[in-house]
Amino acid sequence: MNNADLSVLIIDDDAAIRQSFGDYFEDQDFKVLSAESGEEALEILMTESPDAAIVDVRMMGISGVDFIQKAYLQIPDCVFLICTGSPEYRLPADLFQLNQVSSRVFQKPVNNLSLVHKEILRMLTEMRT
Amino acid sequence: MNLSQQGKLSGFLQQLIYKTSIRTRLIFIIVLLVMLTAFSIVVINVGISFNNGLERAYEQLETVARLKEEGVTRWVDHLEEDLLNTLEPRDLRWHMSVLTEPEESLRLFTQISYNRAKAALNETLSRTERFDELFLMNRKGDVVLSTSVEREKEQFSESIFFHKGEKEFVVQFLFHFSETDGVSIVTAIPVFKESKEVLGILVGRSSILQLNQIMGSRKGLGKTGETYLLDPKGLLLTPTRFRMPKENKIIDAGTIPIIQSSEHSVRVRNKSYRSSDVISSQHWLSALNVVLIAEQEEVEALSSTYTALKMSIAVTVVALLTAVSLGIFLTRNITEPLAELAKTAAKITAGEIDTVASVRGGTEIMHLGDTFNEMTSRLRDLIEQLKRSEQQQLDLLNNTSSVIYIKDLKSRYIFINRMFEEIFNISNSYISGKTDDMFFPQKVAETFQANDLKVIEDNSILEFEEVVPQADGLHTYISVKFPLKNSSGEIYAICGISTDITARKHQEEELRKLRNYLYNIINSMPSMLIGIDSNGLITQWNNQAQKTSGIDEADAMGQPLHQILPRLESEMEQVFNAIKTRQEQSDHKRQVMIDGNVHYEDITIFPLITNGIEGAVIRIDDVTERIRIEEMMIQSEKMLSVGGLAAGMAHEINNPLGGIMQTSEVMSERLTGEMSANKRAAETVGVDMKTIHAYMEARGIPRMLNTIRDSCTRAATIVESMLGFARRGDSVFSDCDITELVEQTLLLSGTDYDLKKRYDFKQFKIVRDYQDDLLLVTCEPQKVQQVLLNIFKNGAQAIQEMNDNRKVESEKKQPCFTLTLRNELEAKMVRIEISDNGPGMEEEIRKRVFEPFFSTKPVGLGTGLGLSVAYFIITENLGGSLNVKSQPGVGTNFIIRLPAAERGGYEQC
Repeated sequence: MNNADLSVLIIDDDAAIRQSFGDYFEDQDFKVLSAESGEEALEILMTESPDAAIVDVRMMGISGVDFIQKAYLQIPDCVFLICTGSPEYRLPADLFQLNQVSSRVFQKPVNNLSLVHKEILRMLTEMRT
Repeated sequence: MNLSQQGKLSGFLQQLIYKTSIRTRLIFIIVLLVMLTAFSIVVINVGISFNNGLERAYEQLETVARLKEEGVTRWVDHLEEDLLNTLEPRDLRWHMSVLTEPEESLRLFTQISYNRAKAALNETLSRTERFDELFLMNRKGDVVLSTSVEREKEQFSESIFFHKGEKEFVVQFLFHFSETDGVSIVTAIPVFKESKEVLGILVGRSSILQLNQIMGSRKGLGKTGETYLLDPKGLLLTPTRFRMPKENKIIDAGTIPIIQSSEHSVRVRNKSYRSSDVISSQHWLSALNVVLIAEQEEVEALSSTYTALKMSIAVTVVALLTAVSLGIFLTRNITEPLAELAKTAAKITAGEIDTVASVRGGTEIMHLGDTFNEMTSRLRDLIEQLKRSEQQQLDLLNNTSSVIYIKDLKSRYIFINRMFEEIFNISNSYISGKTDDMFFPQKVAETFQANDLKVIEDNSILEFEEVVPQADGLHTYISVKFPLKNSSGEIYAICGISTDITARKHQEEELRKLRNYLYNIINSMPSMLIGIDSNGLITQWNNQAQKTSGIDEADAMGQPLHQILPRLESEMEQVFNAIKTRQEQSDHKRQVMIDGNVHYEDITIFPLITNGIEGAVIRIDDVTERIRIEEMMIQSEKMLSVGGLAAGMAHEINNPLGGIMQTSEVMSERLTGEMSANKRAAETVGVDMKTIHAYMEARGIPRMLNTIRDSCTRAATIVESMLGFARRGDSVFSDCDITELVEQTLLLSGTDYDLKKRYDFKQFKIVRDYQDDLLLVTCEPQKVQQVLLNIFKNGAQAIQEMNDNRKVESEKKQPCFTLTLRNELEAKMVRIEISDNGPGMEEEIRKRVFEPFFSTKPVGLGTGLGLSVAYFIITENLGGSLNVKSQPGVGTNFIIRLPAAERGGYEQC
């Protein structure tokens, strides 16, 4: 598939992380949407339907998990990737069961952003077949 | 009279006596006395006078009789005289003799003699008028001459006058002399010849009339007196005055001899021919051969006596009347008031209790009256009191909530009070005379009666518990039963007072249960509960107190607390304070030595302020465990926070690292990559990508970017390694041989940078005490190594420091680690002990040793995270336990316990 058709929503309270993700996916010809918090992300979802979402867990306001639980039904074609700085983080069971949600949790700092890219593509391919 | 009649009589008399009133009796007595006196006087008087009278009467009669006798005698003498006189004429005798002794020769003269004699006789007859006839009798008894011609030719040869008359003058009274009726007095004298021979008898018959007259003369005879003559046979000669007695007989012929024989007159009292009593004086007139009786009715004879008697009686009657009146009068003053009192008493008895007696009379009577009135007044009061008391009693009986009843000796009901009536729905009148079995079930009734009998037998007050079925179930009563006795001490009834204690029993039961429950609660308390009074003496000592102190409840009670538990002596002030101020006092975490061990106690003192009872309850909780747990928890908290801390820290660091690394990656791509965006951008700027690439190369930008990425990676790794223990999830477990692991670690520690630098680990003596057949342990081997290393490091540091501080060389110890490995089969654990001979730790330090950031080292020498991380790893990550014991001056002992591997567990490391 063509990257140019894909959009990604980046949700993280750290500006640098957001920026760096944004820059990378921009380079990969994604349409980039970013939100500082879960609430902002949900607002975006009212008008946008991204293909992928990169979700930070620990944020102000609602956590990333809560966001995913609220959002996944709204955007059934969207894949969710969790990227967290907390080393002890484990994917909760209910998210684990959702096939929209990737079972691979990315540990910040991500030293190879293409891994994230590849995971997104893999999941999308899987979902759409 | 037979007995019954006697009895009846005495009964009657008794009744009579009792029925007569006092007054009557008094009067009677007075009268009786007076009468007796008078009567005796009268009697004596009368008796005397009677006797006198009688005497006089007799004398009178005798006088009269004598007079009469004289008269009669005179008359008879007259007769004699007359007769003699008749014979006076000289030749009369001759003539008579011619007649009486007729001679033939003289027959011619007979007539002359007859005539001459007759004439003489007649002459006498007419002269004297004393004779009714005269006749002459010859010696043969023939009447030769008589004045009554018819008499001649009669014969009286048998008669006494003939016989006696031959000798002497004789008087004879004759009945029915010849044909004449009545009584004739025949007098005869012998006619003597000159020769003194009796030629014949001259007899004269006189009528009794003269004598009658004499005798009939009442002179001196009063109204009832009379005199009469009787012949020797007792036949009446002269008429009686009053009536003719039967058969003409006055007295019994048998008494004549008595009269004849007595010299004086005989005094007789009899009834004579009359029906009334007469006194008679009876004389024998021997000359006349008659009895002369002069008699008079007693009444008249004793008329004076009778008069006297009458007088006396009159006097007596007067006296009697006087006595009666006097008696009446006198007794009035006595009996009237008494009667009044009696009447009043009767009224009072009848119920008119307010009557007052008014009595007049003598002082005694007045006094009696007053006293009586007082008495009745008192009586009124008493009755009032009694009524009130009775009413009170009845009210009491009927208003009490107890059931009260009285039964006779056969357990029949006499009385039940209102409560009884209400509860059992029986009326007092209905139950009267009936027994219990009519109202209660048989068994119950039997019990009642058995109890009643016991009371009677024991003759005392007894208490029973009786169960009675009532409408709402069984009720229990306490029955107090006691005998009722009459004034002679005999039991006549039983009284019972029964109080319903059902509720009380329930309450008691409840109370008992409650008390038991409370007791159980108090004694089940794991705290020591000690109750003391305001003097500090023990009033309550629960099981826990007993256990902890070893002193029994029995011994502790009443003793001063500070004697029983000396270690509380310091608390006593607080105790008293609590009581005084009525405020709870508490002391937490008091350290105390029990059996050589350190315990912690919480002491709370609660003042008892209810019901005004002073005192306090002291609760002592052994909180040693809790403290330990608390400390452990604090430690754990702290430990756990490490995880959080670590996670937080990691997160905080990873984010900026991510920022750096990811941005530099993008930079690298954009600067050195072949992306179309690059191309576009380059075109826009008007630069060739190759040129940019070359410049980047020339300036070493790619290398620098790589350096940035590498540095970030390294930083991330450090973060990962230092704080990554907090991460679960990708732990790599395997079943390890601890022995091997330990040996590896020892090797490692010898070459460890830190250790090498500061402590010469090779100098350390290692003592190994490994159990054979040590179980495999499921763990993360690296992590276990981390822990072991940390412990070694700590120990080594401590020993080093200790040695450094000891200046004297001989005191420095050679560092020695003792490693002990043991199986704990029951707990399925393996125990690793690491003991050193270092300086050891004070308790204060020991208990904080796993605390994060707790360090005894000066600032800069260590963060103090080591042991806390070790603790976290062992307990949280590996599911084991980590403890430390220490004795200052001896050494420290770390004990790690790790779970033994299960069969078919992880792969071996």
